Amino acid sequence: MRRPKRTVLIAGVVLTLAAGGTLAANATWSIPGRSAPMNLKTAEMPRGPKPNVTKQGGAAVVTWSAQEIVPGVAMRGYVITRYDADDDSPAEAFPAVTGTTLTDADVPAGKFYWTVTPKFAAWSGEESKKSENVKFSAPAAAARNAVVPTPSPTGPAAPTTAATQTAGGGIETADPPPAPPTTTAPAPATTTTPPPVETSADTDPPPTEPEKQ
Amino acid sequence: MKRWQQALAAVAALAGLLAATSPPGGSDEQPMVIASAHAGHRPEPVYLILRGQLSGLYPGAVKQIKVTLVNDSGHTIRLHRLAGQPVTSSRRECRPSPANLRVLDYRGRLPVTVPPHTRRTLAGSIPIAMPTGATPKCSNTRFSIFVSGAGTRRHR
Repeated sequence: MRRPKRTVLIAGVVLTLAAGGTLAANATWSIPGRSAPMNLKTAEMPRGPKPNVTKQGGAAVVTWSAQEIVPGVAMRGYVITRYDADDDSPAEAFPAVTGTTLTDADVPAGKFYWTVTPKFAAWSGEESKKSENVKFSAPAAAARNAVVPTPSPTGPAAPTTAATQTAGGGIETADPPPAPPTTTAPAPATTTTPPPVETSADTDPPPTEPEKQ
Repeated sequence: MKRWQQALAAVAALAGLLAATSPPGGSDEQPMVIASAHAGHRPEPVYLILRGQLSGLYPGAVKQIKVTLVNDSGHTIRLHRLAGQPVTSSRRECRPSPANLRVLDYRGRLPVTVPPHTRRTLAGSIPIAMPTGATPKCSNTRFSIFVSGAGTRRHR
C-alpha cells in the first residue's frame, strides 16, 4: 500500500507542476488596448429635384432629373405628389416610380403643382420644391371619367383617373373621380372612346388599385 | 511494468495531451489581443491600422476595410483571428446594431506571421455591410466600429 500511495503522490505533484507551468506559459496576455474606433459615415438622402410639368390635354407630364444616393448609385425611386395649389393640400400621391417621367393622365379641374421625393429602400429624401402651378379645366377630365370605368377587385367599377409612369417601370394608380359617374354598371376597361389626352407613352388605362389615401 | 514506469507513462501521456490542446504555434507562443491604433494616442507596440473608403454607406452597400498589422515589438506575432463590431452611432434613433450595420468576418487567409519590428498589410479585408432594411434614421449618420485581433506572441 505504501508504494502505490507514493507513486500516486509523485504523479500528482508532477502533473500539477506540468499543468501549472503550461497554463502559466499560455496565460492570456493582452496589449493594454484602449477602445480604438474607426469612423464610418452613411450617405445622406438628397432633396428631390424640382419637377417640370407640361400640360398635354387633360394630362400633366411631370419630369425631373435623375439622382444618385452616392456617385454611381442611382436612386431607387421617386414619389410624385400632386397638390391643390389653392390650399396646398395633397390631392394625389403616386406610388414610387423608377424613371424620371410620370404622366398624370387625368387631372381634375383646378390649379395644381407637383413635387418629387426620392426613395432608396426604406430611406426617403426631403420633398422637392414645388413645380410651377398648372391650371386644368373641368370638361376634359369629366368627359373622360364618364367613359373610362375600371373594374375594381372589391366591387363595381368606378370611373377613375390614371397616372402612367413613362420611363422605367409601370406603376399606376387611381383616385376617386371628381364627379359622380354617369353609369352604374361595370364596363370593360377597353372602352372604344379614346382618351382626350396624348402622351408619348402608353396611355391605355392600366389595371388600377384602390386609392390608399 | 513497474510502478515508477507506470507513473512516468502517465506523466508522458498528460504532457502529450497538453501539447495537443495548446494554442497554435506551440507552447513558446502566448495568446494576445491586438487592438487597432487609436488616433491621437501613442500606439502599443503591436496594433492594427485600418484603411478603407469609409463614407457613403447606404442600404445594401458593402465596404471593405484593409488591415495592416504593425509589430514594433521584439517578438514574432502570429495573428489568428480578426473581429469587429459597431460600437457607437451619432444618432440615438440609429442604433449600432446588426440591423443597421454589420462588421463581417475577415475574408482572407489566417494566421499571418509578422516578424519583429515589421508591418504587414493583410491580403484579405473586413467587409462592412449595411442591411437593406436599415432604418431611415441612419441616413447621414456616423458610426464607429472597433476591430481587434487575437494572436500569439512567440518567444525568441
